[in-house]
Amino acid sequence: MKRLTDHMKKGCAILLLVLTASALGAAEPKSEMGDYREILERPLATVQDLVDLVMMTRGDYAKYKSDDKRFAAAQHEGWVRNSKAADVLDRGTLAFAIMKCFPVTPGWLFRLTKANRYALRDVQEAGILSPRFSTHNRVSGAELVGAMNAAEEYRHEKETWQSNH
Amino acid sequence: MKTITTMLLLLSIPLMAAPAPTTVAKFEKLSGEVQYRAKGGQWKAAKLGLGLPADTELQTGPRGKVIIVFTNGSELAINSMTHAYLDSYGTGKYGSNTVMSLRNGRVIAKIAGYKNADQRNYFRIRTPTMVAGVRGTIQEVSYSRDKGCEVKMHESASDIVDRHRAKSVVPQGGKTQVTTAETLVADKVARNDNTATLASTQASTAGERELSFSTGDFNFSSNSSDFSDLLDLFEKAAGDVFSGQAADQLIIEKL
Repeated sequence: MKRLTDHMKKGCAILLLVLTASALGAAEPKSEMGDYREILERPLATVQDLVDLVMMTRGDYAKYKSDDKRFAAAQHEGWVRNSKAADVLDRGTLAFAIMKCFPVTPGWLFRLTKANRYALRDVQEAGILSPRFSTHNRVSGAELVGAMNAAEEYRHEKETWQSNH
Repeated sequence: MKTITTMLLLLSIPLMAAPAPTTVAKFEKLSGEVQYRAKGGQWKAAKLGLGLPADTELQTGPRGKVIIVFTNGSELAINSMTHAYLDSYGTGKYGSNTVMSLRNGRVIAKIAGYKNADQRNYFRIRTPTMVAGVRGTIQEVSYSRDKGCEVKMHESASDIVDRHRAKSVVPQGGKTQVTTAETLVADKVARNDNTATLASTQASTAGERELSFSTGDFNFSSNSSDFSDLLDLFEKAAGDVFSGQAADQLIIEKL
């Protein structure tokens, strides 16, 4: 009888723990979606956020196990040049990455100089970024996600142009 | 033991008392990462056929897409990187009334036809810069903090009210852009779209391109395929000089 009571006590304690945890709200486990939401809510995006988001869009995010490896891969591919991972992202760096990762038609000034200034002009011309800003303007997380979304749509429209027209 | 049982009972009361929320929509098609949560709840992964109550937040990941179907038959396709709220859904003698909010991304709403003349399926999409009331059947709404809101009507028309309370109509096939600063109504957007003069194969017609080349505009265009055109021109010129024709001419002169 005593043993039964002990078991009941243990069972009740576990149940109590589970109920308390669900009532209080357990912490969200770290996942790709969790990281994506963190980027979305950031008031100022960093270059690492840009790298992470491009990798997520391409489906390569899980391929690299750490932030450093993803950043090194981006540098190796050449779409991140002189910035550090923790640097605040500006529109010039973002535009250059978009020009390199998406099939945006480059103008001849960008082809010749590879400058952020002309990358931004080409990306603005393609309707991906707003024409109201210049290269040194900073980008928030929501703006970064919006730009990636627009770039993805641009790619999709370009790929399906022949079949739709 | 008594204390534990009492605490257990006290904690269980709100869980038991909460009524099951009414399902107003369900996930129809899914791809990539899609998550949802009730107000103040935890994010959960979406599953095919899962019912959704009103007051639910939906989020698609960078490669996620989903179609949700409402109980009245209306469909909502949610694009990747979209954050939307299913604010409310109600039915009555008037038909149905759906209100959604779009924080980021793009949705396409296909509104179900009504069964009799007295009923309407009202569908409203709110974004930070405007409210669009779908009068017709297929509407595409997108919002990003950078570019503002864009409404495209694939079928029938829509009413739009921007943050300055200015009302405008998006006709069938039309597109309207609303930013915090201004509203570009459908005919203005169409006029802007049809007056592109850059020497680009994407932005200009063949005639416009021809004209801009003859006036020398292509040297200054910011984004075009003009560099390759310029190279082609040099190649052609060089080709003419060193081709057989030029050689023949030289021989004739020699003779």
